[in-house]
Amino acid sequence: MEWVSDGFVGKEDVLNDRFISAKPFPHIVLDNFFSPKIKMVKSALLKEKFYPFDNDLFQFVQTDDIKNSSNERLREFHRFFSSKEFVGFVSKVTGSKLDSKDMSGFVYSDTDYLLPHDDRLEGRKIAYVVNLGSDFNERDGGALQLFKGNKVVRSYSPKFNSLVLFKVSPKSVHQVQEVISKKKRISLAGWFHG
Amino acid sequence: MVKMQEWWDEEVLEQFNRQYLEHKNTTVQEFLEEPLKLPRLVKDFNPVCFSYSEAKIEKRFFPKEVERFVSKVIGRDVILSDCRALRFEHRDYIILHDLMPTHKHPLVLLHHNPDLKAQWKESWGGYFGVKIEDEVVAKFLPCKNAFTVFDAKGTRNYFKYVNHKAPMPVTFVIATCKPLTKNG
Repeated sequence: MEWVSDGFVGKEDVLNDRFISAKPFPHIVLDNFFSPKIKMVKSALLKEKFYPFDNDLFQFVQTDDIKNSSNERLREFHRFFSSKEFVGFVSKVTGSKLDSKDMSGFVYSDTDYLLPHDDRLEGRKIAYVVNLGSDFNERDGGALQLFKGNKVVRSYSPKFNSLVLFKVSPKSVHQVQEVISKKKRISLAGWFHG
Repeated sequence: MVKMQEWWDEEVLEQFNRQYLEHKNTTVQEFLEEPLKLPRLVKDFNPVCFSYSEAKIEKRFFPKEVERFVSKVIGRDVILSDCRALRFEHRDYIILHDLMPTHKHPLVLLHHNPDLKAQWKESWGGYFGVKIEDEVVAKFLPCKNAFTVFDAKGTRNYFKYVNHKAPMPVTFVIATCKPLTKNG
C-alpha cells in the first residue's frame, strides 16, 4: 500500500485492539498515516469547487463526491481508498465487514461548525476523516469531539495527515467544534458502508 | 407582569393584521414600556437537541391587553400559553430533532435584549429559523424590545448556533397563541 506510511500495515491486530477498546465508543486516530504523497491530495482538493452548506446542524463548504472529480490526483487517491487492499485493512482495524464508501472534501473556516449528532443513516458502518489542513491547537477550535452522555470526553484537534476512524452507532455522538481562528480545517471525509 | 406601549389605535392594528395575513408574521418595535424583569434562567443541554438557558414563565406574564393585541393581529381571539424565556449565548442552539413537534398554533416572540445597540447580523447566528419540511420560510433576527407574531402552524423551529462573533447573548420570551374557547 504505497499511500500508507511504514508501521501500519501488518499491525491490524494491534490497531483493532486500540479501536475496540477506545472510549466512549470504538475509534482510532492514526497520526502521519499517509505517505508524503498526501500533500498533493491537499493541493488537488483545494482546486475543487466547494459549495456552502448551512442549516440548523452545520455550517461549512463541501465538494461533490470525489469519485466524480476531474482531477487525476484526487481520483488516484480515491481509487486507493476504495481498493480491496485498503478497505480490507480498514475492515481488519475496525472489525467490520466493509465494502463501498463515499468521500467528499470539506473546509471549515472561522465560525464554521458541525453540531452533535450520531451519523446514523442506512448502511453507514465506519466514519472516517482524513485531515489535510495545517495543525490546529485548542485555541483554534475545530476539534473533533466525542460525547458520552452530555459531556465531551475526547477532543482531537485536527493534525495534518491523520486518519480518524470511528464506528457509527447510537453511541457515536460527536461534533466538530466551531473554528475560532483564521486557520482552515481541510479534510476528506465520509463513511464506509457494509 | 409586562406593560406594553399603548400608542396604537385601530388603524395601526389593522395594518399589523394586514401585514400578518400577507406575510404570515409581523414584528412591532418598541413594544414594552420598560425592560422585562426575567426570572433566573437555568442552563439546559442535550447535545443532539439543544443548548440554552431557560426559565418557565408564570401563567399571567402577558396581561390581557397583550392577548387582545395579538388577537387583533391574528384576527381571532387567543390566549398566550406555554410561556418560557430562553437565553442563547456563544455555542447555544436548538437543532431540529425527531422529538420536536410540528406547531399547531401561531407563536409570539418577545425580543428582550435591552443592551443590543446595533442591528444583529445573520452571520452571527442566534436567530429563530422557521422551516416547513426542508425549506426555511422565515428567520427572525434578535432585536431590542420587539414583539413578533408569526403563523407557526405546520412549521418547526430551530435556533441557529450562536458563534464567537456574536457580541452578546440573546434572550426571547416565546409563547403559543391558543384559540380562546367558549369556556375561556
